[in-house]
Amino acid sequence: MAVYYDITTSLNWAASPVGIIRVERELGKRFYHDPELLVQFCIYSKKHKAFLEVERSTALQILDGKLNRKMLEENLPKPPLSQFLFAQEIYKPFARYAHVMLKGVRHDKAANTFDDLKKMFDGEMLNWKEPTILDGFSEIKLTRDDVIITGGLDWEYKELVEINKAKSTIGFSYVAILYDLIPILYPQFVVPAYTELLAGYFGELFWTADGLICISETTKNDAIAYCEKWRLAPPSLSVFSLGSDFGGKVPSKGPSTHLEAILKKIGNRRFGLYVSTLEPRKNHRILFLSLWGELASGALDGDECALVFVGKRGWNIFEFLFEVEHNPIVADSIILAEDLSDEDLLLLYKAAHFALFPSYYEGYGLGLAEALREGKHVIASDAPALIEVSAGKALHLDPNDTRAWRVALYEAFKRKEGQINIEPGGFGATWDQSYDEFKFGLRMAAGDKIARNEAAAS
Amino acid sequence: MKVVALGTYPIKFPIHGGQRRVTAFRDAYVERGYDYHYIALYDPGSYKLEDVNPSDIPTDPTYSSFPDVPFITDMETGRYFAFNNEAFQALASQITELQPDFLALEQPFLWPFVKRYLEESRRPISVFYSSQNAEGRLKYDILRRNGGVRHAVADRVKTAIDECEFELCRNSKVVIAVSEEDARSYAEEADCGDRIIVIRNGIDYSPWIRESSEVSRIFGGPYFIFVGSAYPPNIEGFDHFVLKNRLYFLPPRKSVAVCGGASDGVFQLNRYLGHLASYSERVQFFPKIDDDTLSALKNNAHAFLLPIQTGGGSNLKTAEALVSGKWVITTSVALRSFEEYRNAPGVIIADTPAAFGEAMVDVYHRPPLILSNDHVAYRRRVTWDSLFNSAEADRFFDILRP
Repeated sequence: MAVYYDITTSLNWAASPVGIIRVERELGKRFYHDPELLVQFCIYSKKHKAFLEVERSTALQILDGKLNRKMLEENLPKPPLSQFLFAQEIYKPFARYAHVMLKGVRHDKAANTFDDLKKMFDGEMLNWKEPTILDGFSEIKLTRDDVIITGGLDWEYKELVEINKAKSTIGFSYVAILYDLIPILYPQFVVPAYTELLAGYFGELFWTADGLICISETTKNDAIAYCEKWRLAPPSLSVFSLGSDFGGKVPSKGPSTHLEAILKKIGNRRFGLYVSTLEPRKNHRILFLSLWGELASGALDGDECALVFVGKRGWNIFEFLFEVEHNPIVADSIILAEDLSDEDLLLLYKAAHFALFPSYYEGYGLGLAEALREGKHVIASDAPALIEVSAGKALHLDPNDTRAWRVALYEAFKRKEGQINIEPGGFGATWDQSYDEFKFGLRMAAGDKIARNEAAAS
Repeated sequence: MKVVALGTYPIKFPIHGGQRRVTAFRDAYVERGYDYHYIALYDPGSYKLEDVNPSDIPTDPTYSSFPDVPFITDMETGRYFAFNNEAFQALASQITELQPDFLALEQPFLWPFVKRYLEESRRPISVFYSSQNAEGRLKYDILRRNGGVRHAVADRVKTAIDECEFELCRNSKVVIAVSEEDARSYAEEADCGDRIIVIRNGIDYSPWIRESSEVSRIFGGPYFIFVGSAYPPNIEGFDHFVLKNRLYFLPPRKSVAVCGGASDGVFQLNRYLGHLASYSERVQFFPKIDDDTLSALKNNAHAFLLPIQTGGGSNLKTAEALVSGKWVITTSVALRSFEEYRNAPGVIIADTPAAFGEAMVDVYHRPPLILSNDHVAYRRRVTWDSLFNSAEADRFFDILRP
């Protein structure tokens, strides 16, 4: 009756936590400290087609972002210099050009000679076994009483076909977080190379998971509609809210030099903040067009207002950013930033006059929840999940209605007060509350096994 | 009465639809007392010596009036035997020796040869054209979709084939079309409406083998069956109508049988390879399949898939699917010349990928089709026995009578 929490994605992540990584880590840390559940930690190895156990203290380091694959790889033992040089300088070039070097020798004889030489060189390398970071983890022998909980970038790191086969044979439970079905519903918003990968992942997920814990009612409804369309028996479906409290972090000191540089660019101007990856689905363009229109008409003054886009640069955004950076009217009024720490991001939210979220579609919209939690006026699109998350506290507009966004942007800049009628911290779930809701979903999906685990823990 | 028929493929081992149709006609002639001879002018790159009869003659596959245009060996064969004197003489002497009363052309491609032969031999031989498709339009589609040929070139090829085919129609005592649509086309273009008879494609039906340990070992539940040759429209159709919807509505166990020469092409599709691990659980390929296993596969299938997007003529696979008495999910194109079955119980027409996918989902969850005896008999009207006992067939053989 072991309960395993999968942290493969956290292990593989070396940058600041965003979206899915934050969810995996915040829940993972709470599983670690939960006295009511005996949770062990695991990673999945495609090479082994198996889950590998991660020792608890190592798991905590990974969840805290203090240990990742890159660091582990840097610490792997290196081959002795002589063998390394032998491999690099002699063995590999020889293997590559062996057939050229043996040209002219009869084919079968050449093949034999090559094999003999290769054996000899292989012998030189016999004493050296290339280590991998997986050597430090042992394979878990799952039983039918076990539960795997997973919520990372599983399309990247897991082989669901293999997991399903193992599950059919052994009978363990598999519970996954379902963030959204965007690749199925809106494939135009997915990196082209990922469209089929993600569609395949979701296709297999509905045959594999015993429970899907969705990050919004919207995502749950999408999952139900998917199952109805394809006549699949839906797995257990439940919903948990994402925490918007940055894990309870409070800025203890002033801005970092990184943030100071951004604040300097903003100067004394009022600014609207949009925190989200830069990619077509996020619809930064409507903000660019709206601001351009208002500045060009003279309704807004570039010396008094700005927009700040915080987020990683995603796919298909290069030309858009070129437009932004080379538009003489707008260039100085849109400021781009990325890789901010949680503390810096909180400070930026506090300094913003209002926030924006014009995305075409979301599974949740964490940036919207975070802004409302800081008591900011938010203009968001009318995507179903955003309406759900804002609970009536944001202004929702059609993400294609430029005229409406221009008006809203103008009015937002002209508002005297940046704050709305929400006490800072008085909106949305904390990550602790989020964890409790998640556990509820877990009990729905694998109730008996979780109950037995809880009994053992007590 | 002696009939000499000319075609561009041998019929010693009839496998594909064209070969089977020629063989069925041969049997019908022989049954009615005709002396029938078939000469194949075949591509030696496609058929080995053991696949042909002694009277068959290889063409020169390098002969080309449209350099670098693929998929037109059949058209070039007709020109080769018409314009290469050595080849012409080899075929002409064989025909002269046989002293036929009728020359039957399977497909129009050998018309340039026949035209020259009739002019030079001055023998009173009647010609009739046994069409398998309106070839010009079909060839254009294949060249554009599968051959990477520019419109202008593909259109020139189409025009050349159309001219050949319509001239043949005008010079034929009788034209057998394979579908009403083709018949209309010939009537309009060649003004031969009074000489056209429609005899669509049929199949030789004998009850299929009921059990096979291999089939029951592989398939533990209901499965779809798709049978097709390597002919590009078969693969393209499967890609467009079946794989476009993806196969995740099926459980991760074998639920689709892909049989015949189409297997390799389907396997190599991006839409298949992009889901290789998952689809390997769901799809079973039978690239080379013996008759008994194929028979058992058809007999135990839950539904037949006919996802054909382009092509002409009438599809033998459609006839097989209808005779099966199983669920049939088909496009209108695949049902061409079997239009009377549009509303038959168990036949579902789906002309878009979305509709095809919905039909597959729906049928997968339905119980096996059970037809009344009347409907079983109705579906069996597509057998050759039934077709050659029809009024249309009688009319054809009446015209041939001296």
